[in-house]
Amino acid sequence: MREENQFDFLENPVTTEIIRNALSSAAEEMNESLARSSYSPIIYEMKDCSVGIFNKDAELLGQSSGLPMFLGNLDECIKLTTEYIGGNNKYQPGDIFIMNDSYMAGTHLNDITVISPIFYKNDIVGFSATRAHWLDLGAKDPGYPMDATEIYQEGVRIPPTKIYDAGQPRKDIIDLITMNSRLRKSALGDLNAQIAACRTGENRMLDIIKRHGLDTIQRSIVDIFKQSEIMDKEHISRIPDGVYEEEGTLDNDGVTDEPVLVKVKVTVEGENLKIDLTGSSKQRKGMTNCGLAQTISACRVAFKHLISPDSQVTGGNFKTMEIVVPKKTIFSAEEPVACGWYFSALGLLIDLVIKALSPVLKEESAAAHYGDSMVVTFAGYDDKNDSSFLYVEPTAGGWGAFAADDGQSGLINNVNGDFKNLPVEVLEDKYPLKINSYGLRANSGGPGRNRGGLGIKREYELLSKDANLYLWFERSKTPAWGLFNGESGQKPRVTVKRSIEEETMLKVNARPITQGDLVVVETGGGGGFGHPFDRTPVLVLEDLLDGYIDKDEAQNKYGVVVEMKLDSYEIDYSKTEKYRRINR
Amino acid sequence: MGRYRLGVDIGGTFTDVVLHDKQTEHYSTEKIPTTPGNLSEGVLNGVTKLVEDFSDVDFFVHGTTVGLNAFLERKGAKMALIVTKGFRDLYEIGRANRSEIYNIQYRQPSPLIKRRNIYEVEERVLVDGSVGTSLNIESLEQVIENISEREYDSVSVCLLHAYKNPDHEKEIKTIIKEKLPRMSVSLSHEVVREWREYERTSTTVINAYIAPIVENYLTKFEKEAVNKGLDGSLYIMQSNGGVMTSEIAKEKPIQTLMSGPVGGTMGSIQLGKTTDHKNLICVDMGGTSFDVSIVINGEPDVTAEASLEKFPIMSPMVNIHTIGAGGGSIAWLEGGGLRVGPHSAGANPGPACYGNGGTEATVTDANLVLGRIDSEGFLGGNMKLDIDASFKAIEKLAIQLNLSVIETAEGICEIANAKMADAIRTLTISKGIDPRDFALVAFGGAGPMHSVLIAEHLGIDRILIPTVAGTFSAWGMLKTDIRHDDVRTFVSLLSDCDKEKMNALYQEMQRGTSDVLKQQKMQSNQMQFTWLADLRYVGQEYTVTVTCSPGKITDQSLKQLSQLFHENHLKIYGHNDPSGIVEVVNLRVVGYGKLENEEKATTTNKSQKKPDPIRMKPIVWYGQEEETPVYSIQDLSYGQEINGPTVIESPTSTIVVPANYHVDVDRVGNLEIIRRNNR
Repeated sequence: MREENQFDFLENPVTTEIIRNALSSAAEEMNESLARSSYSPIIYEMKDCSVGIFNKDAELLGQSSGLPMFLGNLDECIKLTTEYIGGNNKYQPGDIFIMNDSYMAGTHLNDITVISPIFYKNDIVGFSATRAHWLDLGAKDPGYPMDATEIYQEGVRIPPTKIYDAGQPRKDIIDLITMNSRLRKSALGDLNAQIAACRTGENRMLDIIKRHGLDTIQRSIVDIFKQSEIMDKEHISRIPDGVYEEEGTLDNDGVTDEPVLVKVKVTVEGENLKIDLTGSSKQRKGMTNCGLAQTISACRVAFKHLISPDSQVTGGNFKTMEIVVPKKTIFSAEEPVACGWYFSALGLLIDLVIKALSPVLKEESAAAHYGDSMVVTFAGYDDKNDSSFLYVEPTAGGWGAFAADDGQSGLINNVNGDFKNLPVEVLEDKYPLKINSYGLRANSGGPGRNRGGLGIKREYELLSKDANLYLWFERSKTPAWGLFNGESGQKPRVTVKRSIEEETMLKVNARPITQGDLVVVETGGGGGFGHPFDRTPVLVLEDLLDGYIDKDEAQNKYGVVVEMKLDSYEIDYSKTEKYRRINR
Repeated sequence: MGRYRLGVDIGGTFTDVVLHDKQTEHYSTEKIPTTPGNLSEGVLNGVTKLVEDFSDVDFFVHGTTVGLNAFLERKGAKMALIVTKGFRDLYEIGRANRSEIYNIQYRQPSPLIKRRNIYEVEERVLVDGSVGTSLNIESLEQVIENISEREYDSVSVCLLHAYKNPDHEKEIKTIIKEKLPRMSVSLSHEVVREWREYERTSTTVINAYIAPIVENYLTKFEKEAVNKGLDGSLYIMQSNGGVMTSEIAKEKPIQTLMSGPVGGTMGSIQLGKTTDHKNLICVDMGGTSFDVSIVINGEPDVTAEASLEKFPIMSPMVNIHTIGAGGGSIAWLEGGGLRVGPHSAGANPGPACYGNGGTEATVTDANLVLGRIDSEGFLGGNMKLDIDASFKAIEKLAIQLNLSVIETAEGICEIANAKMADAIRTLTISKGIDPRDFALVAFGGAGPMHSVLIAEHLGIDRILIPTVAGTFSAWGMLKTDIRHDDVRTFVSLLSDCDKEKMNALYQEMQRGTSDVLKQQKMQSNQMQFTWLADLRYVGQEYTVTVTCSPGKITDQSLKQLSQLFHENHLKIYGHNDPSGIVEVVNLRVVGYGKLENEEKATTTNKSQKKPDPIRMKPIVWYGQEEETPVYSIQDLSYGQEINGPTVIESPTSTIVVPANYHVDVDRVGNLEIIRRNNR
């Protein structure tokens, strides 16, 4: 006789683990399939996409996402679709649905979700779903605008819509959607890639069912969810009970100049964790609004950043995590507000949750990073190639220091995942722009025992006759904060220069510039961790020798006094000790 | 002509030696411990176990990890880097991407050159190759003065757009050589003439970083080999699947970085030829690694760009995907569930059974408990294993899982096999191929143990096990040709590209490549050249490399290129756009110097005798313990067949064959394992 398993698992743990890995791998395969056959670089290069496999109750079995933000936001779309069509019994084999509405799916209209039910022997057994960013969906400006004030300016809104009916494509509907794109071919290509990825997921799911049997799979899934729940509970229980609050602001919403408040209250009680966003800004006229589904995803991302970043997420996770968002805020947008820049407030939200919990999760936390995508866009006419051009670039910056190390310099922001910048040599070949310099911004990292990473400085020169400049730079009012007496990183700054005239700005829509104008963008640094006077003097000297800081910063911020001796700096230890003692 | 051909693969723990006797067509193998302190002496002493007098050796190839180790341990040259004014940090910033998306404590690897050793000179070449700012000699002289004071081993120069116009880089070298005649200077356009400044810089820097270490090692090795009588050249295995003489290796040490594992892929191609399989998935599983490479239509999957610890390397390399931890993968519990990997016990402490203080259960421990590995016969008896330690380690998990030790052990192996199969399937999907159309080649110490079970998960019906599975990389090195690659970035629409210019670039590369082959004593009739072009649809970022018939670029050849591109795009990405505008990005030339390396069968007589097992042994199969015959590979000969379940032991690995499979022995002693009642 065997003893009862302490967790009351239903299936053999070996079988369960093989099935768990197979489901996760099936999602990886869907992702590979999507990346392989999509048309747009934003999908196959930037990985602005996510895929998942679900059971018939829309609970996550396996997922793979390119951007961290897309963690677990597809289940909500499946549930909404099922509700919209009147229940699971309305699905037929071969059906495919599409949707993008921001208030339902959570993100901006460019993110298209495709859902396909999976049938085994005439019964619905699950779903496969994909989300990917389409380049254009008929917004008022190409791509998506910077100054929309209503969702109708941002593109076509699609509720859950059947585009394949029992295996037959509905050409009229597909045309209706893709004809509204300025890039119809790419839209069709990406749609087909998403459908192919759903098929890959369906085939793998059916293979797994055939190999192990449906009953076994269903028992194993119960066990897999239970494992996830046990792990979450273990993790949350380790956080001391308490209420942890933080707040910060975005500079503005791009249309009105009033700061956008983000308030976070995290309550930990035993195995339960609640994130309450009450008090955050009402929904705004500008585009910094986000649908509820995506806000929930962002809270989960923050949790995952701090706790078990390596473990696989399933439908069993987040059962003891509650998220409270009052209606009609920037985090629960409702018609008719615009949602194009839904991620700016989410980047801040994630940083704030980490900050709130940092007193009790010191080792896992990190000081704030430079904060947002810091997008610079040039649009105009390229005289040399006789064609119009559009260059959009998110800019890297400094990341926050943490208990074990300095923050990383010159790294892309949290919502952009593994995005790679364009090499200067390629950029200059493709666009009428010249890069005059590209480097780290000295002294921009927040001082601390561990130093925040440095922001970058990049100078563009316009080579064509004229063009329009668009900027979305953020977080000058709440720059990257330090933790545990570490200091903030420097704020971002953009300077537009024409001969001797100079003008600084952070956000701008379609500002005309002409040949020879210089645009100098500087991004912020990351926050420091620990008191800067606790930084080992040798490390301060090293930073000075490498030019990450200058002599004044070494003395004024780190209290390290150095002298020039024989062409090189040396630490004056007694003066340093004295300076640190007096000025602390 | 000498009698022998000699292949040596120097790994981290063991050095594998394969000696091919051309008279008898016999291969002898040897596995000797690597002596990190004095590599060349250790290796040569090991080799002399097989052959005393090197004057009988007319081909000596070896794969070396000295360059790789210098890089991994950060023990390379002390370097300065000179860049265009305004771009001092391009090397440190790289492409600014964050590959671990949920990690808020992410750090890029530390650059090989500190910022203080990076110097800017005033100059600027523009995108069209014209000079925007001339080289400021004064600013350069100031930099050279600083460099001379700091005792660098070498200086690398990487200027913007030098792939297009390298004049400033050349001028800088001339001036440095005037002032500092003994300084080693490497120029980015000479290492790789391809655009993308960060990748080119990273490649140039790694090359210079490992250069003095590789050079010292090879010089010493050559000297000792000559002392033992070697009068032919010493060849070095390259990452691109070819070999080069040690002279060339000193100039292009970056080509040695992946020289070890590539031998296995090249060996697999040869094995595929003799067994008539052109599509192969090659699995190299050792104690701490699990590497997969793919051969399509008899050609290795070569990528033009690879990365090492996140540093990009613009240099053609056989694609080797590391997708697991091998026999050292640790079994553990999470949320009450059983997990295997990704953490590994590594070589130290290693699995519990190594007796080096490891207490966690690994895949190797599970194999031992199941009877699939012999505690006495591991690595040909070179290492005794502690089965009690394995049992204890697995028992700890078994109690918590409420399973028996045997069930847990078999579960660990099953999970590991299924995971490896999952990872291989994902890899094949990304390449647009179906694993069921492929044969699996398994080698390395642990590969043959798991291969059949992995193949079963993948629906693969044929598994090839080389007779020298444990030393297969060294064997594969004997099956290669000399190879040299060159590249030029040439960005133009295919429809209106300058054919004269394109021709001139191809001819220039072919002449250069031919010179390099001549330096390696190749005659014209031994040389072969392939012309390639990297193409894409306008607007795309990635390129597809297609073959272009060498000779002269004509309208016809451009048309052919375009057609091939559309076809390959469809194959790789699942769609294409025959009306799309195609753009050329890079032109490439690959030169081969053909070496004598054909496999000859030793026998044509099928053995009629049934093989005798060396012993019977209880082994667990699908939960049931069964008396199973164990054979020695040395007793098997051409034409013999064995039915599973069985275990076949070779001096360097163990081959596990469940029921439902049978084993054929081919003319040269390789094993082909075939699933019975093919699906």
